[in-house]
This record gives sequence, structure tokens and C-alpha cells, in this order.
Amino acid sequence: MYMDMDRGELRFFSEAQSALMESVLNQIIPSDDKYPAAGNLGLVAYIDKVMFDPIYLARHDKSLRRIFIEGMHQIEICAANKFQGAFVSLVSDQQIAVLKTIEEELPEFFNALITYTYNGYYTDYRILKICGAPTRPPQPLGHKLPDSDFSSTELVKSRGTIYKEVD
Amino acid sequence: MSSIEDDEVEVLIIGAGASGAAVAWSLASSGIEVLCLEQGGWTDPKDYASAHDDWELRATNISNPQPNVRNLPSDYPVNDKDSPIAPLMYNAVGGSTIFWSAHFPRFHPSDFKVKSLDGVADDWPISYRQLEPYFDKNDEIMGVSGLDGDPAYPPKSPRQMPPFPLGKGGQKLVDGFNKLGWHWWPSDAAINNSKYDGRAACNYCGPCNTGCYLGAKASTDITYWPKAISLGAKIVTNARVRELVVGKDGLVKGALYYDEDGNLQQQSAKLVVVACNGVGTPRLLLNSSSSMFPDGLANSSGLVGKNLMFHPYAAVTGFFDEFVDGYMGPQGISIISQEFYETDLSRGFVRGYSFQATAKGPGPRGAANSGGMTAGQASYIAWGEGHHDAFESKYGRTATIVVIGEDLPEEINTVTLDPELTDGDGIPAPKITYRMSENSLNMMDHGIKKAEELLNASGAIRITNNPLLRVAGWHLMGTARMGSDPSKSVVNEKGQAHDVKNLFIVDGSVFVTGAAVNPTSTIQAVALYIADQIKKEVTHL
Repeated sequence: MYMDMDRGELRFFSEAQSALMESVLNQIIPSDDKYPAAGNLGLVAYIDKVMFDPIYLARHDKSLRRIFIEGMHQIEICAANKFQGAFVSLVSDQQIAVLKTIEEELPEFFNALITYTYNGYYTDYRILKICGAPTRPPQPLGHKLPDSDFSSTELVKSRGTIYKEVD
Repeated sequence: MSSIEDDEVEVLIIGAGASGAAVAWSLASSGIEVLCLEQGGWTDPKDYASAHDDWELRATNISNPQPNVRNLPSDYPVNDKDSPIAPLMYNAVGGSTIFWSAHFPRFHPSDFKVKSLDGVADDWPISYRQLEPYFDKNDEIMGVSGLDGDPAYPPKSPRQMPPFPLGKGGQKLVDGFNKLGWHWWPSDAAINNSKYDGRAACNYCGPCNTGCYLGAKASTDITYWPKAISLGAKIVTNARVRELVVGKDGLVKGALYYDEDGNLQQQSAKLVVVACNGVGTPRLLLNSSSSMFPDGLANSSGLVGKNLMFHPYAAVTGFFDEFVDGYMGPQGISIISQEFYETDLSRGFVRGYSFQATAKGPGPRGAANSGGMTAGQASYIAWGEGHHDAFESKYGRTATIVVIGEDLPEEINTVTLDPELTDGDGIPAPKITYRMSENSLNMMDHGIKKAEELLNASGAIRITNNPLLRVAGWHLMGTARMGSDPSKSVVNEKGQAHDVKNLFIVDGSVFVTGAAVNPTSTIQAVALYIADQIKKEVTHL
């Protein structure tokens, strides 16, 4: 899985783009006292993998690489225009302001950014463990559900039939 | 060509899904020679998403219900840009039952007589009572878990297995229904709640819609087909039919199809059964035009591809202040309510809707990214500050009421051949043109308000809704409708094409109206009924 991958193995993001994306992802899903931030979790490597992996990259998203290159470019342009600096050098509120502008102006990129960030974050077993989800696939073990009490169907029946007789 | 393809068979079936499988079994059990051409192959449960670590990701991609997203070699593209609802299907032995939820309600007696009762659409030329023995036989073969005695139906044959547990979310909804005095009942499910007919019991894993790893869910590759094959029926897989061929006598002679290697083959037959679903069937008929049938085969009425019906779906989700068993148990199965099923004009629309209370939430990725029910659309929880609170209030803490409305037939809702788009073999792709009627919009508005009322009564602390689900076009009906008047219908009351007496259609295309419940139980009952009509006909050919 992508967690085993170190930065040297990135195929898509350059070193500078990787640093930019790590900052961006830390704003998309920031840390709190329970959960780590997405960038710090290493999701840049996941998104890098998505760019080439036929399982992770939805087949209708073949232009994803182009969309990300353009999106990262626009983030830096917006950061420079608004705050005269590189995105990674901005304070948190400034970074959020830049991303809100990008969300409005580049919806295709932003949707893809959110989709793949959330996909990676919420299928990472470290996160599943924190949120109390099973850290295994649904099969072959399945889940346990207790039997239900259906006695109140008698109430429903007591109100009589509700279908229309025809013929 | 191999010998099997050169030999004329008695009955050729196109499509190995819900209806084709039922017809194959029925005919084979009467000693009739059956060959089925299926454009997909056999699926391997080991490939289904639920046994893989990345199961939630696979569901967005290779296990996606949309053929346009999945884009497997067995799929054909569908131009759905002119429709707010995207058609869903699967192409394999078992067809769309591979990825279905197996929610298994029947149509009601009234659903076959809406013209007589409500003055809209048309009556079917057959009735619930005529179909009843076929419903019962189909239930026995598919295996149904449920509870006898539902007052929304005439008495049914005993359910084969007990109903599925409701989970905490389902119990909350039951409390809400009881508080309001509204009808509810545990859903009939074509899923084993105990071992049945040699197949395993469900272990409540959740994502039925990506294929059942255990074989507890009744897809026809593991119900009808093994029985049909043991009786002598044959299937040619990876065989994509391009067109049906007609002789000078106006009878259909067989099919031309592309085999796995892309070579064109011919299969001759005395009688042909089309079972390609409400999109695939009109596509095939329209692509089978000839000098004798210039507007498409069996289309003298001009109604092939018209009157397309989906079921409009709205989803209303309640958030609870505790874990409600979220993702556990069959994804689409819990409770059905038909409190608002029959016409009451004071509500502002004719006919009605069901609630399918799934009471099931998505896994973590689905909770964050789309809520599961709206997969494929940009619908995600907040990013940035507040993200973790949004996730924690949703994951495992939601129950969803789906409003499924009766969509009345309209000739402007169509399946046509796309002038440009083709599948991998160059066959024209279907194009969907569809819009919601005023009646349907009013019906869904009413359903959303009533679902909100129910969720409030159930103790939800917050409620959201999606007024029309796009990725919900499972139910494809009406595009080769049944009727006694050849100028107003494509097939007669026996499922036989008015124009071509050795051509029968058995899938949801023949539906005159769509009711307000999932159609597969009724599709299969109609298919078994038509199979019995074919048995009478085949001796004359």
C-alpha cells in the first residue's frame, strides 16, 4: 500500500509540488486532538499513486494529471497575487483563503482534490482504527446483528389491509 | 464456425440476466432446446469488492454500477447526457442481479389496472392473479426472506426464510412509523437469511451492490442458471449480439453476434427471446432494421424505445446522536412502507410511492465523500475546520429513507440509437432522453416531506435530502410495451411481438406501467408467465 512508499518513489509530483500538496492536504483535512492531518499522514504518496493506478483512478478521470498540474499552478498564482508569497510560506488563514478562491474558480480540480483526499484518508487503516471502523474488508467475516422483535407488526395488521382489490 | 453455432436451436435467448435466466430454466424444464447468447462472462465472487482491503474504492470504479464509469470490455456505453437519471446495469451471466440490492417486493393488483382505477396510462392485458403462481414459483427458486401477513398485499405464499434484522437504525424507524400510525413491514429480500437451496446464509457484511462474495444474494448465475444448465440449457458467453436477422417470410431467423475475438458469428433459431433490459432490448430491435422492418424490428407501432420509465428516487437521511449499526446488514434491505402507495388526489398527484427504509449507512469513505447513496456526484462533507465533527456526526449514525415513486409512461421519454457513440464492436450505443413529469415532481416533493416527518418522529437530530438521485437508474421499463392493440403496443398479452410471431420479449421493456416498487420480482414472474406462452407456441413453429 501507499504508506510503505517514501518520497523518493513519487512518480508524478516533483519535490516542490509534493511540498505544496502536503500543505494543501493539511488544510483540506487538518489535525485535531484525535485525527492526524491528511498531509502529515502521507497522502501525497497516495494521490501520486492514484495518477497511475487503474484501480484507484476512476476510468473517466483520465485527465486527472492535467487537472492537478493546472490546479497546483493556479494555487501558486493565487497565493502570489493575494499574499505575495509561495503557498507553503503563507500562514494558515491565508492558505485557507487561497483554497476557498480555488474552490470557487476551479471546481473540477477542487472536486478531484477532495474526492481523492477523502478516498485515501478514509481507507487508510490508521484512520479506520481511530474512527472505530473495522480494519478489515467486509468479507469473509461479515458482521453480527442481533435478532429483531417484529411483534409491533401486529399493530400494523390491526389497522386492516391497505391494498386495492381489482379484477 | 463451430458446430454449435451452425446448428439451428429451438429457442435462442439474448441476455442471461434476471428474465433470460428464468425463461431458460422454464423452457429447459419442459424439454425445449435453449441456447443463450450473453455479452458478458461468468463472474468470480473472489473478484467482488467486499473481500478486498480497498473495497470502498473499487465500488467507485471497477465495481461501479454505471457502465460508463466501469467501462469493462463486456459493457456498452450509454449516452445519458439528456437524462437526470443515469441508467445502471451489469453485463454478465446473471446480468444486473450481480450488483442489485435484491429488494424483492411484488407489484400490487392495482398496479396492473391504473387506467381503470385512476384514468391514467393503460391497464396491463394481464393481471396480478394471472401472475400469482409465477410470483410464487420465482420466490421459491430465488429464495425470499421476509415476514408473512403484510396488509399492503393479498396473502402471499409463505416466505422461505425469516426477515432480516432491522439493526438499531431500523428499530428507530419502526418506532417512528408506529408513532405516526403508518404502514411498515420488513422488506422481502432475495437474500438468504439462513442456508437455502445449497447456498450460504448472509453474514450481514453490507455492500450487496458490489456482488455477493458468499452467494447468499440470489443473482441468477447461482439460482436459475445452474438449474437450467443441468436441464440442458447452454450459454455462449462474451457473445455480443449486433442484430436479429429476418427471413423473407417475416419471421426472425436468428442473431448475428460478435464472439470474444471480435469475429462475426451467426446463430439460427426457430424462436427468439429478447431479454436485454429496458435499454438493451430497444437498442437491439432498433439496430435490427431491414427492408421489411425499416424502423426497427417489431416496430410498426413506432413504440420501440418509447415510454421509458425509471423510478425517480429521492433520499432523505436522518442523523442520530448515537451509533445505529450504520454499515451492517444488507445495504438495501430493512423496511418498506406503502402508506402513500395508492392514489389520493388531495395530495396533488396521481398514483403514489413507497418508502424503502434502508436504515443502512455507508462505510467511512462513503460517509465522507458522498453519503454512499449519491456516489458519483460531488457531495462531500466539509473540508477544513469542522471536517472531523462533520464526519463523526455522520459515520454510523445515519438512516436513510428512499422515496421510490411511480413514473408514468410518456412517449417523450425514449431510448434511441446514438448517431455517433458505439460500443467496442462498432454497434450503435443507446441514447437516453428523459425528463421528470410534473406529477412525478409533485409526488417526490410530498414523499420528501413525509420522510422528514417520519425521521423527526424517529428521533433524528438533523435531516438532509437529495431530491433526485442521479446514480439510481436500475429499473428500466416500458420500451417495448405489452398490449392487445398492435397500434399501441409492441408485444401482445403473451409477450409475442405483434409484428413477428416467433419473437418474444421478456424483460422490463414489456411493462405497461412501472408501479412504485423495485421491479425484478415482477420482471421474473412475467418472464416465467411468457415462458409458458412460448411453450404453447413453439410446437407450432
